[in-house]
Amino acid sequence: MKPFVRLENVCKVYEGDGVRVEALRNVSFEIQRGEICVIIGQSGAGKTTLLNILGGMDTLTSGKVFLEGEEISAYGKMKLTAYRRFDIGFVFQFYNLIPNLTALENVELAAQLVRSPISPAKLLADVGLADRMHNFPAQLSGGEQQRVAIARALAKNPKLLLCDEPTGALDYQTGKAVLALLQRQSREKGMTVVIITHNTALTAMGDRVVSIKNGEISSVTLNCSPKPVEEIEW
Amino acid sequence: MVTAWTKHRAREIIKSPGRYFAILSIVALGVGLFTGLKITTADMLATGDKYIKDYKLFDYRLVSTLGLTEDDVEYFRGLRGVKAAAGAYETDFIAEVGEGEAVVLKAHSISTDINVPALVAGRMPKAPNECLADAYYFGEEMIGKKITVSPENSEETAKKLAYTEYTVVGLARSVLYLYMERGTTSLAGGRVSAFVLIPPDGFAMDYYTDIYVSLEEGGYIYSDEYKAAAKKMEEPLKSALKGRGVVRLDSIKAEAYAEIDKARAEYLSSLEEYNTQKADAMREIEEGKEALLDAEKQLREKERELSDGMVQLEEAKRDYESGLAAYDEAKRNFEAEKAKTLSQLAAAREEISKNRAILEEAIASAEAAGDMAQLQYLRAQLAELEKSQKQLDAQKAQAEAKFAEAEAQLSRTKAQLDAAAAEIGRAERELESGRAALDDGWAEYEKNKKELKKAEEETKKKFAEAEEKLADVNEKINKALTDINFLSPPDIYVLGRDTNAGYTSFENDSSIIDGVAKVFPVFFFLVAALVCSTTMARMVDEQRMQIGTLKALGYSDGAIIMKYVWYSASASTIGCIIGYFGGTRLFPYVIWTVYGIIYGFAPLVFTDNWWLLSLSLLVSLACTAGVTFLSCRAELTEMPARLMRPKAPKPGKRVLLERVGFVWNRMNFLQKISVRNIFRYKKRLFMMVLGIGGCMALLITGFGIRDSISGIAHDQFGEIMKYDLEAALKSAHSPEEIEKFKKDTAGFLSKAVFICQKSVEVPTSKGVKSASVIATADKTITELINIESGGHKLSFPPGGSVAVSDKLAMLAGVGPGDMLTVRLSGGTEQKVKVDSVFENHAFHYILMTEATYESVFGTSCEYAAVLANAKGDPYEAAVRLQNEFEVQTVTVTDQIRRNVDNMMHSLNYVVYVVILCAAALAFVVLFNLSNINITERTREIATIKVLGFYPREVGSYVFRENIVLTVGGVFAGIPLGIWLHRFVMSQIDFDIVNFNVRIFPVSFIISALLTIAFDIIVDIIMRRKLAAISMVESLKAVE
Repeated sequence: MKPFVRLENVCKVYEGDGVRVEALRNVSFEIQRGEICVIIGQSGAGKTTLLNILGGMDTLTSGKVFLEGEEISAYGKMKLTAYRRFDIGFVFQFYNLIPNLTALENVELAAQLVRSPISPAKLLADVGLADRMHNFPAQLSGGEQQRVAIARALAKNPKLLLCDEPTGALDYQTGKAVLALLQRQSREKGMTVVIITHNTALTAMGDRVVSIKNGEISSVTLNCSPKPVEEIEW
Repeated sequence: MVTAWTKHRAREIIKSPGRYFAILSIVALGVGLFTGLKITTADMLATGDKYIKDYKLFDYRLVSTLGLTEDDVEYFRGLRGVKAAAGAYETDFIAEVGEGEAVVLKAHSISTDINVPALVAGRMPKAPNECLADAYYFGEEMIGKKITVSPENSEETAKKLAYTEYTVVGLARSVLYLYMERGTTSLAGGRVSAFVLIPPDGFAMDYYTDIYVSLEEGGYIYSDEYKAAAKKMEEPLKSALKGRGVVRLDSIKAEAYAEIDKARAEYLSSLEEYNTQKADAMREIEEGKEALLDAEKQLREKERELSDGMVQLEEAKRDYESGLAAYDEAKRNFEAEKAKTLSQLAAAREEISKNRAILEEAIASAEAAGDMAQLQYLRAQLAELEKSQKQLDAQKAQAEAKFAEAEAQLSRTKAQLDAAAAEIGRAERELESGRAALDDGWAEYEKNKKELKKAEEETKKKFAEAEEKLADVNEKINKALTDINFLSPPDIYVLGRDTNAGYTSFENDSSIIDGVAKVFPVFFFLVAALVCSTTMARMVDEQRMQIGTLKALGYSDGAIIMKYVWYSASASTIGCIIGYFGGTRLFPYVIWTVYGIIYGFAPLVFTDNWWLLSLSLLVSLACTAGVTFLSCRAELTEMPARLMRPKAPKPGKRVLLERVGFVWNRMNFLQKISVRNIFRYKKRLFMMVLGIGGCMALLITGFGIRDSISGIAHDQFGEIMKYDLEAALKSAHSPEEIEKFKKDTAGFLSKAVFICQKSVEVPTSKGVKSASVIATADKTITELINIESGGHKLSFPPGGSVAVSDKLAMLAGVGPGDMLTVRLSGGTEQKVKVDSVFENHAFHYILMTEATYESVFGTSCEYAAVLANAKGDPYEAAVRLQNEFEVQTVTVTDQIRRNVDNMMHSLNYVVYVVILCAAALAFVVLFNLSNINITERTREIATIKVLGFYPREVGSYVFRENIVLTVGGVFAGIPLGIWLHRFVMSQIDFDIVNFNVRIFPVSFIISALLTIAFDIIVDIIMRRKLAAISMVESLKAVE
């Protein structure tokens, strides 16, 4: 089976003011379609850089990144924007909802960007916010906001769902619910999900766990029987 | 000591220059505008004050109807409280300048003490026939040329000037004329074009027309102090002048009496001379008559003598005739006697001869026969015969002698007769010549007689004339005597500076800008407060975490608040100082440049007003630091723990527009975001609309000022004064002459209306205004002077009432049906009914019919000016009028219009300054808002970038708001601009000009386009900032 996402010897070096920081060094791994991949590492390990590169938000210094055989790393600025627009769904740690758009409108914001979106209202109902659709983000709790953010990411019907510390700003229960939602979406819709976190407990829910340390892959573990989120404790 | 805290505060500024600069520039703009406009009036007054002090403008002008003398000047010079006094000459005259161009000039004498000329070019006059010319009217090319006193001037005027030509040696301004208006005159045209300054010796007057006085005490121009100081001296001067008037009267009386005495003596001596001359002449005529009688007598005697001669001659003639007859008879007798005697003698002779021959033959035969006896006998016979012969011969001789004697006697008689005949001829000739001489004598006699008669008549006539003349002189002397006896002290006038038109107008016109300064600053400070408030609120929001940290570290609330207050206060202080020094230099300079049209008398004096600076500083600090304090206090006094946590974002809110489903549902999310954002921050919305609306309003005002002012020339000289040219005639025209003129000019003038012009004064609420009266009997004048009101054509006023130009009517407070008071040159006032008020932009006019004129002024209408339309080129028509007709000056309306248009060009400076202010305002507000929006929404922007928005979409996400607000501001700015324009125009109130307060539609369009262009420029610049926002921002924790 051809890998859905493939990274080959990805290196990222930040240079500035005479300071040279090697954020990623020879990172190579693959993700299969429909997998939940948990990228885990300590603060400053390079996981955000990895996310930026995967999300088309940053370029890399050397190496190659492929999505469905397309070489993302060769894209220019415009193509990268299009890539983010059509292929990537992004869930932020702090939700990043547009404060003066309602929940529904926030989802529509994403839905209107693509050619074949998923109905925003239906998605919101899916994430359990059918009756809060017309609320503004400020009127929603953190978990609700994150659920809107997930709906917004899914509305584009992306090829890849990237989640940056999706539970980072949430309390335990809410965080669990959000993760459960992600897991369900992946399972139900066959969505490829990449979750970036420093919380090792989350490794249990991933089909594939990529550990990253000091900019290098320390291990890639395939998990044959990922646990449902509900069963995970941390 | 540079503490870390100080460093931190300094770095805060460097880190966010845009924010700092926004506060700084809006304050600079507001303060600049406020202080600039405020100080303009002060600068102008300072300029005026310096100018009138430098050139020693009089404090009082003393005028007496009897004129003033050197003694008077001396007297006033010595008066307490008087610093200087100078006698001055002044007269209006018609001058020829250049190519026979006639203008009315006012000549003033040059003084070094008071009203000193301000030399602009050339040099001061050295000789009395040199002069300085009005720098406002003449160009430098006039230097070296001559100004000729026109022969058109009355003798009286010409006599006042010592020369007929004055060489222009320099150009000068006179402090007597602060503004362009040169006043009115009784001479042709009624308006003085310019002044000339001539040394006192260039005048030939024997008394001063004015005395100018400057006082010991003074004060700042127009100040109460000055007014009080001047007021204090008014009465003393008045009474002194009155006293001098009496002195002057006495001296004039004494002079007059002396003159009358002289005249009377002269009269008496001429009378005497007349009498002797008359007696002489009469005697001569009598003598002539006697001589004539003598001559007649002589002639008569001669006549008689001649007749006597004639009689004698006739007698002599008769004597001679009879003598001649006697002679003729005697001669005939003699001839007959002679012939008889002679024939007797001849016959006797023949007898003898025959006897002889016989005898001889007988002798011969006797001889031959020798008959002696016979012979003897014969011989005796012969001897006898011989003897008879001898006897006969003797007889003959005797007869012949007798005849000769008779003949001699006869010829003697004949000679006598001939002599008598000659004598008679001679006498006859003599008589004839005597006759001729006598005839001549008679002729001469008749001639002399006639001559004598004529001479007598002539003499009589001459003497009759002389007698009349003498009687006249006598009468005049008597009249002068009574006049002098009735002569009263002169009317005197003590005229302060407030009677100088330039001086008073400058007071009014320099305060205009002060009025304009009322509204702008309020507006700018409001915007400044809003800009500062939004900016600082944003800054505090951004730095919550930091503030919390600082507080946690133990910095006091005060210290933290001070950081922000200091930030905005330092920006506003720097801005205030920059604004003050920029504004107080730029605005007065530009405005003074525009004022130069009317008041170009001196370079502007810049002044500083530290009180104004302090006030501005105070207000700007209140608007910035104060606003900072108020808007941040709430945040800053919160507990650090709360501050460390992210602030709940301001919730999104539904806007009214959402209820309008059919609009809302059609909008895409980007538009919806914009709409919600616009209404999310009311303060920003208000600031933006106010700022952009203000920019728009400023632009409308700027362009509107130009529309209102620049059109004046066109409207006044194209729509109201529709004639092509105006000619001042050398003399008033009678109806016949008018007809002839019209006929003669029909070839090149399509219309000509004769008018009678006069200057009058009209007392108004704002002082006495001078107005031109135009009177005519020709009602078609409305084709040349279009009198309109609110788009309706008015008809020429009927007899007994007048049409008044609108500004004058407004100033005088009259409308149709009211009575207008006009003051004539003598000072008498007349009331006249107002029939209508018509639109007019420059100067004041009163129109009336000939009949009204005559009843109001009590004099006949003198048609000495003509308004005309040319068939072709008006300039050509003007040349023809000038060359072929009795025309003094021709003014081509088009030329005036061009001149005025040229002057109006400087108004563009105002427009540029306004555009500059508007642009600055728009930029500050737009930059500030965009800056706030971008920094505030960095996270949003990063997020949508991550979501895959294209740069264009990202741009519109932010800038659509700007565009919508700009458009909103533009619409808000329209009424604001109209109001502002009206306000400014109502403040710009020049006396003689009535602006056409209007804004052309194109000005609205240009203003709107410019405002939008400013927005687009800001957007283009801000897009770069937008592009620089990293998507990584979206991943950062909420601060």
